[in-house]
Parts: sequence; structure tokens; C-alpha cells
Amino acid sequence: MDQVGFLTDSGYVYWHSVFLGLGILAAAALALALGLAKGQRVRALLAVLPLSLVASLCLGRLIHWYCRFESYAGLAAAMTDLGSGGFSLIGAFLGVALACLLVRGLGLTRDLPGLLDALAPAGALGIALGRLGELFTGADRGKFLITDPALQRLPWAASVTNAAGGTEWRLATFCLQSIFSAGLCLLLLLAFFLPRKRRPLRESWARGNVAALFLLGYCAGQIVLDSTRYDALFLRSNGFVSLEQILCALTLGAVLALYAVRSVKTLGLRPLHPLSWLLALACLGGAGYMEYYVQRHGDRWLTAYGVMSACLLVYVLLTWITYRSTLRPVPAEPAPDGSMA
Amino acid sequence: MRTVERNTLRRVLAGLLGLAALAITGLSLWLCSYAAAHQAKVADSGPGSPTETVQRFFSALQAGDWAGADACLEPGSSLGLAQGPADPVSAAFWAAQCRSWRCQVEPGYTLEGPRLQKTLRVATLDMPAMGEDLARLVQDTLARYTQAARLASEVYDETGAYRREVAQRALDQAVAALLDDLAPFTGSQDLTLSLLYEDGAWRICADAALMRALTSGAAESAAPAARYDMYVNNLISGVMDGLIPIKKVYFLEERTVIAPEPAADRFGESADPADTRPILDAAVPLLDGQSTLWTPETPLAPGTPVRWYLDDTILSLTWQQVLHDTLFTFSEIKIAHPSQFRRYLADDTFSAARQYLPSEMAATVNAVTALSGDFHKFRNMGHIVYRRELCRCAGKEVDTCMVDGKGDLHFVYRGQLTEAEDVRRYIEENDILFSLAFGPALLDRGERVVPDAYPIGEIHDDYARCALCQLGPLHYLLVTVNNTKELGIYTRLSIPELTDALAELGVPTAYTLDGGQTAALITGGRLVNPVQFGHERAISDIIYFATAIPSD
Repeated sequence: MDQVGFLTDSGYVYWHSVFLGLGILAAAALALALGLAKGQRVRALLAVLPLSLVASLCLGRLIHWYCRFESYAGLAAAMTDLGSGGFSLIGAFLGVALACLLVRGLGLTRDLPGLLDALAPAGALGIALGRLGELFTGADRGKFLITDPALQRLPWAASVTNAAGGTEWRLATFCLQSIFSAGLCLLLLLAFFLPRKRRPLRESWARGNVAALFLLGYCAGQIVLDSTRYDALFLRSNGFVSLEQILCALTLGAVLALYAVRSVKTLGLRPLHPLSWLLALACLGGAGYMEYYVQRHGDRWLTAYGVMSACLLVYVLLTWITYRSTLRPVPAEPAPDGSMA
Repeated sequence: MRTVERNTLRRVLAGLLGLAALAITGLSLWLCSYAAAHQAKVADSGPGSPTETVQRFFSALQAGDWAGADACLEPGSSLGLAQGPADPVSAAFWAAQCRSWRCQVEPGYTLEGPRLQKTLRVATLDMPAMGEDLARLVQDTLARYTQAARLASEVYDETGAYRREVAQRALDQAVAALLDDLAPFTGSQDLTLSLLYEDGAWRICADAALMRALTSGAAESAAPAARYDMYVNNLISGVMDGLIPIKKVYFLEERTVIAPEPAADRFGESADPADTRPILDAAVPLLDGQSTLWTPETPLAPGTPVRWYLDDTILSLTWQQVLHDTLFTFSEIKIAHPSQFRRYLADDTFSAARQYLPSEMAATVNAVTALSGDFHKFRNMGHIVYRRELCRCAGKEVDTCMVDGKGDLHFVYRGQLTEAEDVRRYIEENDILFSLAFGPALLDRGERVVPDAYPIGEIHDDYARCALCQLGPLHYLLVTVNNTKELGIYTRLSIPELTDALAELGVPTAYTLDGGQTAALITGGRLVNPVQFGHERAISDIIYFATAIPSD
């Protein structure tokens, strides 16, 4: 049940909304800070944030309506009454991407990958803080009951009151997502600020890698975490694999494909390339099979998610190795007398 | 120079914004621990405050100002007190009940989500004690009549029992005397009242706890007249036992979500089918002349028991049988009142975000026996009616099974009704309470109606199956078909084969529900059939049968 933060004359203000607001504020501040630090144009940063917010709200609601259309009186009602109903986080991703393209299209920035690099850690921070709000709603629970009393506490399990008034402990999916996103945010900040000792073949390839790392980490994590949710969003034509899982798998494929192309351009086609692609495909297949498995053998969810996580971890490592293969040592700066240091 | 200044300014700004992001993160973490330890503060005095609203509500009740009381409730709700019970004795009890309403508001409150909970001390009538006293008063009155009578025939009939009109007159007198002074039966109990905040004022939720307090436990939802009638009828039935035969009546309120808990000692099971003979004998009044599909001669699947539950309102017999080289799990149900045949959607909400295992939902609603439903959230087909409301209108492709106020199944065939207005008219004209949307319909009043092609359920494939059948008035058969390695059964059935099997058993009306891993039959809190893959799937709905005997 949603916990009330405070009351105003017109009604309740829920903690959930407070944390969502704080998450957006923190993400905006971090995005501006990172953008300014890396020389992004101020007007581009100032334009992309409100555009992202508006586009995220609209697309987030549109996707939620598409997947849960029976919860709304209609599309018009869904898009106009934003106070009730839900939003899809996928919509926020698409909204930010759309806003960035718009800013690029308007000529406010020439460095779209650099802009995305600045937004990536901010996005992870926003998700981490926003999901904290789910600790104060009845939504912070997964499909699976946690029966071991030692694990019946955060961050593993959240207590909820069921329809009969009893207390049950369910996997605290959103709490885990918040922790995962916080960790990812730190990793991305490291990647953002650490000096490069190696550079890619082309200068343009040096930007956008933080954003790609974000997509890689977030999507790999979400394929597992979204599976543990009992309120995941599904396409109308498919009730087995959630929309988020489908998009995450496609994104993982796209990130690997990007670096695979760059790797082949850098090194030429080598026998290890197709081998690593096959292995990556097998890992995605393994994760997909575990999704199928866990839906049929829900009592073995821990094993299934363990194997799924392992598959995705190997996939992430393969992608990272592919990325590393596109880098070469940075040539030493020539000394003032012309000799090499 | 300007470029250097600009770069410095950028760095300073970036640093400040980075610090701001860090500060907001810190604030969020602190707020997280604060929110976990503190609840929101609410002003509990003055107009519109929780205490004032509660006091105004009870003042209106005591004054018989039903509209004034309803105005204290959350918008759109009503206690439905304008119409009292129809029976004169019940009406007299109800009038006494209304006179007894008083409350004392305790200081303090708790917040459970948006609901503020306020503890009150409310006056209630001890109805069981009133019943006991009434029995004594009736006996005393009858004794006085007997003493005053000149001839025995004035009070006794030819069998030696009290004459009906004499007993009735004694009852009326005793009721009047009993209700004249309520003090001995007036007690008090704690009531936790829920209130919601809207437009600057607190409103009372007319929930089950409030209705139970206002009716001394007789009813749980608004418009309690019929339920109060039932309660008093059963009380009087007990009082007049042996004097006037008054049949006890039990039913469940339509809006009640959680049914009474079945009595644990009324469940039973045995590996010997003959052990069900006494159960079948005891169920004769409930069966009301109908025969059961189950007989003590029915051959059970090897190593499986027959399970049962019997009280005055429900008979449930569950067994497994090998037919057509596959494992059938049957549950035969006979209920006393149509309200005991119910549907439950996860979280009591159409297309709710959450899904649960069928056994979890069965436990939530205190089902005696439950069957997985149509998994309505999984697909967007068929008409879904829940609590008399049309929630989904999509009847072009699949058959819908409608359940009416008498507990009878009606099929709306694919393409028969496609417009929402037509479906709503059908609901109203046929008193439809809820529906199931999977199908196809297999047998309709003895006629085989299974189609050659159907868009869902892979009807020509070998598959785990699930069906709801009606054998007669308030008499049902729940069916699942599974394979199981344990019994060396590897065959399942196509829909035409299932139809043949049910027709051979003499089932007149049958409808398919979602099969595969969804198909799950639960009785006495236990999953009975060997579900596909050995583990239940979380789904969005069940149908279930409940006892109507109050838990206490």
C-alpha cells in the first residue's frame, strides 16, 4: 500500500512521488554537471532535459496504456489524466533518446554520442533513487515468496499484506533494481572520468561508449530483474517474454553488433570473431531458455535466475572484450625536442 | 582570456551541479530512513478532521438521518440503510439495533497507506445471548399459555406439539419483551474505522468491519437488509427448534470477497470409496433429489484418495480416475445457494497487475474447492463480466460462459453478441453475475456444440485440459485432464476427445477453461491434480465454491 508522505489541502502526497521527483532532480543535476565537464553546449543540455521529461512522460504512459489498455478508459483518458495509472520505464529511455535526436536535429549539439555519455550515469542515478520510492508502495515485490526467515528483510524481501490480511514476504525486485542501478551509476562515472590509456581506431568511436556500457549493464540486469516482477508489461500478442526483456535483448544484440563491426574494422575478420559471436548468441539463448524454464518450474527460480545471470554476465564480458579489441595504445606525446618520451 | 574564464565557469558550475546531485542523493537516502520510521502527521480536531467526521457520522445514524450518515462516507458509497429487513421479526430486531448505535472515539490514529485508521469503542448487541434469552422467554410464555388454557387442544395439536399459531404468538410476545430492554445485551467492542482524505476532509470507508459493527456481526457489506433477515431467521430457527420448523438459510453477500472459513473437521479423505457412503447419506437434504456422479463404486486412480467436504451448505467430492488412458481429476460440487459459486480475480480487480498461484488465491478467499479460471489477463478475447459489470467486450472469436444469479451456466457463442450495449443488456436481462472467457463450449444442455476450429487452446492437440460443467441446479463438476509419470500415464486429450469423455459420463453442460500449466484444481487448500511441469503457474483468476456457514 502506498505510504503517505504528507497531506495538502487537495489530497495526499505519497513518498513514492517524492522519491521519483528527487530521482529526476538528481539525474538532471548530474547530467548537467557531466555535460558541462565534458564540454557539451549549455543550450543543448538545457534543451534536452525538459524535452526528455515531457517525451518520457508521454511515451512512458503510451507504452503503459498499450500494455495495460484495460486499466484505462481509453487512449485519450490515459494521455490526459496522468495523475492515475502507471508509466513504463522503457518510455523514459525512448523519451530521452527522442529528446537527444531532437536536440541534434535542431542543431543544438554536434556531439550526440557525447551527450548520451553525459546522460547515461544520470539515468542510472535517477533509476536508483526513483526506485527507492517503491519501498513505500505495495509494488515492491516479486513473483516469488521468500520463505527463509533469515532472508525476510530488505534488500532481499519486502513484506506485503495480502488480500486476506496476512503478511507475506516477496522478493524485493525494485529494491534490488535500485541497488543494481546505484552500482551501475558508480561504474559509469568511473568509465566517464578515468583517463584513457588506449584509443579506438577512429576518433568518433571514442564517444558514446559510456552510454553503450550503460545500455549493456542495465539491459543485462533488467532481463533478470524484470522476469522476477509479477507486474511486468507484455506485448498484447505475447504473454511469455516481457516487453522490457525483448527490448533489452535487442539492445544487447545491438551493442555487441556495434563493437563487433568496429572490431572487424580494426583487426580484420579473425577466427575468434565468429566464435565469440556464437558464444554470445548461445548466452542469450541460455538466458532465454532460463526464462522459459522459470515460467514452468517456478519453484526452482533461484537456480534459473542464477544460470540466467551467469549467461548474461558472460555475454557482457564478451561484449567488453570485443570493445577492448577496438582500442590501441595511445601514442606518447612527442617531447619538445622532438624525441619520444 | 574569455575562453579561459568560460572554461573556469563551466568547471565551477559542473562541480556545483555534481555536488547538488550528491546532496540530493544523500537527502534521498536520509528521507528513506525517515519515511520508514515516521508516519505523516494529521490534524485530528476541527471540522473535517477524522474525529469530527466519525462523531458526525454516528450522530446522523442515531438520528436516523441516513443521508447525513452517507455524506460522511467516501464519495459514491452508501450504507444502504434506507431499506430495512422485510420480515416483521427481523424488522423489530433491526429497530433495536438502530437504537443501540453509539460510539466513543479513542484518541490517536495510524496511517496504513492512504487509509487513516481510527479506533472506536462501539456499542453492539450480543445476538447469541439474545437468542438464548429469547428461547427462555418463549418457553416461559408457552408455559403461561398452557397454565391459562382451559382445554389442552387450545395449545396442543393432535400430535402433542404446540399449535403453530400459539407458538408464533408466544414468539411475538417474547420478541417484544426481549427488545423492550436491551441493556443486558448491550456490550461494546473495538472497531478500527478506515478513513480516506479527499478535498480537505476525511471520509469514512464503508468496509466490512464497519458493517459488521453496525449489524452486530450479521452483515459485511452495505444494504444489509437481506443478510440481516437471514441472520435473524436462523437465530429464530434455533430458538423455535422443536416448536415451529423454520428452515435455516445461508448465503454469501455478493460484494463479499473473503468467504467464511470452512470447518477443518468437515474435510475428509479415504483410499476406500466405500467410506463416502455416510457422507452421501448425510448429503441427501443438500442434494435435494439429485444423484451424484461419484458413487462408492467409482474406481479411483491407483494410489489416490477420494476427498470430501460436507456441511449444511456444500458438498464437495474430489477424486482421480483413469479414463480414456489419461488421468481425470474431478471435483463434484453441490451447493445450497447460488452465492456460493464465485469468481475471484487477482486482488479483486479486473486485469490487475499482479498474478498469483491458484492455490494462493484459493487460500485467500477461503475456497472449499477452487479451479483455475480463464487467465483473462493473458489474452484479450471474450466478454469478461465481474460483479455484474462488463469489463471487457470482445466476443467475436471465442465463446463466453455467463453465470447467472441462480448459478446456471449460459453460453454466449462467438459472434453472437459483439456490441457492448448488447452485452450489457444481456447481463441485465439474464441477471448475470460473472463470466468466464476461454472456451469453447463443449456441451450445451446435452447438445454437443464443440466447434471444428477455435482460435485458442490448440483444440486438436494432445494437451492438459480444464473444464467447468453443470450437472443440475447448483450442481457442478470441475474437471482437469493431465498426464503423470507417476502413474505411467502419458496421454492427454484433444478438446473433441474431452467432449466425448464428458458426454459418456452424462454431463449435460460443459465449458473449457485455460488448460496447459494453468489447469489447477484445489480442494481443502491442497493442489490435487498433477499440474503440467509439476508446478503451478501464477495466473489472474480462479472460480471457487465456498461454504455459507459463518466462520464463528
